[in-house]
Amino acid sequence: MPNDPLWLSGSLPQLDVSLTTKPAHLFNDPGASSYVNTTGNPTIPPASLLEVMQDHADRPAADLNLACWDTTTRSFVAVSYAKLVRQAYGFGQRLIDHGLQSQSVCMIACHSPHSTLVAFYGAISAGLIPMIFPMPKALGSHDALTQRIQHWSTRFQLPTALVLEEGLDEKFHGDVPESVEVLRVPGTMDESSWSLIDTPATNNTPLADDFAFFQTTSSSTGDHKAVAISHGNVISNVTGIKTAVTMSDNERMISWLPLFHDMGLVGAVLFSFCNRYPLFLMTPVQFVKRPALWLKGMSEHRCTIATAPNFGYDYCARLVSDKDAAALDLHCVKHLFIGAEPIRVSTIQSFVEKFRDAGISESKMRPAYGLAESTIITSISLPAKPAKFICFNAEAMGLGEPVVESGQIAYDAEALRTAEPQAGIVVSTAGAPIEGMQVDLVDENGNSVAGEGVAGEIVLTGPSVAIGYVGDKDQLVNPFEHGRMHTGDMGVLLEGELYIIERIKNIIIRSGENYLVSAVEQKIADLLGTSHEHIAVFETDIHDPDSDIVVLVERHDTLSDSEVTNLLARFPQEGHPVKRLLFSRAREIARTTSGKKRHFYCRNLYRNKTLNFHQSIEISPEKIVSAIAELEAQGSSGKTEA
Amino acid sequence: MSDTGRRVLLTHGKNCYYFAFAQGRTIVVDDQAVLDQLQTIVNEKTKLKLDKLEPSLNLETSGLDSLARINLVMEIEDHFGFELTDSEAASITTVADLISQIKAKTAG
Repeated sequence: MPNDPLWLSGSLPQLDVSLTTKPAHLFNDPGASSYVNTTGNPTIPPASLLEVMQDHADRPAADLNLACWDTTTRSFVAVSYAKLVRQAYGFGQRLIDHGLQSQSVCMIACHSPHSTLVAFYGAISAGLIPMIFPMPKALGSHDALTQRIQHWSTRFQLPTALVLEEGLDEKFHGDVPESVEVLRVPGTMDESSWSLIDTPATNNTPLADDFAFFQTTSSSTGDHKAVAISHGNVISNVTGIKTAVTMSDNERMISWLPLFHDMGLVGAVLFSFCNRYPLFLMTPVQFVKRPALWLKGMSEHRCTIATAPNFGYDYCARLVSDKDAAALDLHCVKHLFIGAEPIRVSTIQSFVEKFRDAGISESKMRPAYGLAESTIITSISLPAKPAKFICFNAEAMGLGEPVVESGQIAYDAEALRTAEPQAGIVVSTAGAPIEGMQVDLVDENGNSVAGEGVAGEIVLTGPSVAIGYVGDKDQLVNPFEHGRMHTGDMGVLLEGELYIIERIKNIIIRSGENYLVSAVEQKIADLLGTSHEHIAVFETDIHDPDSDIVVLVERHDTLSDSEVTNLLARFPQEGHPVKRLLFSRAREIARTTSGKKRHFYCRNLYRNKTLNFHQSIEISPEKIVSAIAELEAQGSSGKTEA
Repeated sequence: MSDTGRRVLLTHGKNCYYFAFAQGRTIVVDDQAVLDQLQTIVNEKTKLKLDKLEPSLNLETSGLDSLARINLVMEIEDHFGFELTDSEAASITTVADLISQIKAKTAG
């Protein structure tokens, strides 16, 4: 049993976290008190992002910068937070001049991180609600962005702003509704491109419960969902992270995470900005092209904090050259946060081994769990408690059922190096909930589970839980009922720490992309000319980012070779990560008593080799291209003969 | 010796390319030359094995995922000796866009 399981069950006393004055670690004011836990009447936290902005403007510091990697000069180009805020005030004035009102939504579509943040903070200063969109990737189309703009443009009652980086206009000409006020911004940090104002354009004074921004969820297919985050959510979360891992007031951070994503926006940008830490910022594309740049930046600029998903650490371990690794000095690094996707033993082992001589050790890795709906971080592994992986028996896993543990692997060199392949699933700790966050585990009926060691759906309450999902004209935001957020993740508490063991919600995450299962199922249903009810899409192993994505199709027939070729040639080449089609008899898809598909039970059947199917078809770009070529060859051959 | 203004015919295997040289940099002046080189890069460095790379090919729907497309951009950058910004790389949708961008980046 944990020492202090206050957050274990809703039936136990809950922590009431309130902010009585400005948090000391936020404003570096020795006289101010910090966040306090109290069971008395809560007071509304006075701090907002605008107050943090004003603090930067009022107390400029020489080395307090946002520095963005510039591809042309191959260096970080810095702008002080104080100047960034004045640029934001200037942009806020532009929004007001265009007739936009408080509580209007400000959609932001920029490649440049600096331009994105000027628009983001500018919107806040003018009382608008910023919303950052994912941008088209390298060699990609602008369709998804266009669809997002079209969707959100007509969603709200008040006039909407669209901030568009110069050069993107032609891509959207005619696609932006006339009701939307389009503001173009440069994609450069050149100071002459941005007007400066010393104070906000309005007397807007947001309260903790007011909307700070709308966070789009990163689902890649058909899911236009966004979460409403309050100023209090942000302040609570960023201070909660700092407190949990006992950071000093002099940390330095580096990030390559995208700003449309909660991990990049809150976990790096707002975390640094609110805690008065310098931030060195790259883009995901810059990182993917040259992962060594991230580590070199860490080394050269003496960064102490960084954050990335498992993919980022794995990518560095594989692709940073030994020569580059040998030139690094990472002894300055204190905390390497890792989350957003399952953490692998092999990643921790290979990353630490590769950079051990540079100063990285297992004890600096900080596994964490979070989601946009809890602003970002829900729980985090504490420095004082060594992290570990636990191996669970996959067959004995269900909501409300006790988990069966088959072993542990500590985060240390010897244990990681000698770890044997496990028959079950291997899950990293996600640490303990940050201050004020309460984790409740519930069974399928919504009842709290019996205690430690029993699996349940993770339900969150606390000051970091977002207001709700963004709605429409009738209701701007649909709040979470009673402030409780059902995560759709199955977890278990062991020795006071949270382990995420299964995903109940139907989202598949691959290479940082979220795919809505229902949308993928519909896509496959359209292709096969059947109902989506007869199709279940699932990952074969949610803890392995390389595991196959399988489509189970209930259909009795078996396709001939030529029919398979025909199917592959018509297979959609985007918007899904599918690797295999399985044809089964009817009623093979596991369902609840009310008929809902149970994707994770399908996964268990597949893993246990008890899933019955009569045909398996591999899907890959090579197979698709080959099928198209084969059909074309047949076509031209036919013409010749004719 | 300055090579400014020279226009030469280079051969590589069965392919012939027209190049010009200016200020010590290679300027590609021939769409077909770029296309042929792209074909080689795509076939050698990606999973796609195409008999003929068409200018109209949409690179997003070609079967390469986003990571593979960034890797393709890197190969192209290394080959032609320039670096694209995020917005430049994102503005490219088709092989024809790519050829235009390569010509623009290697000109002058």
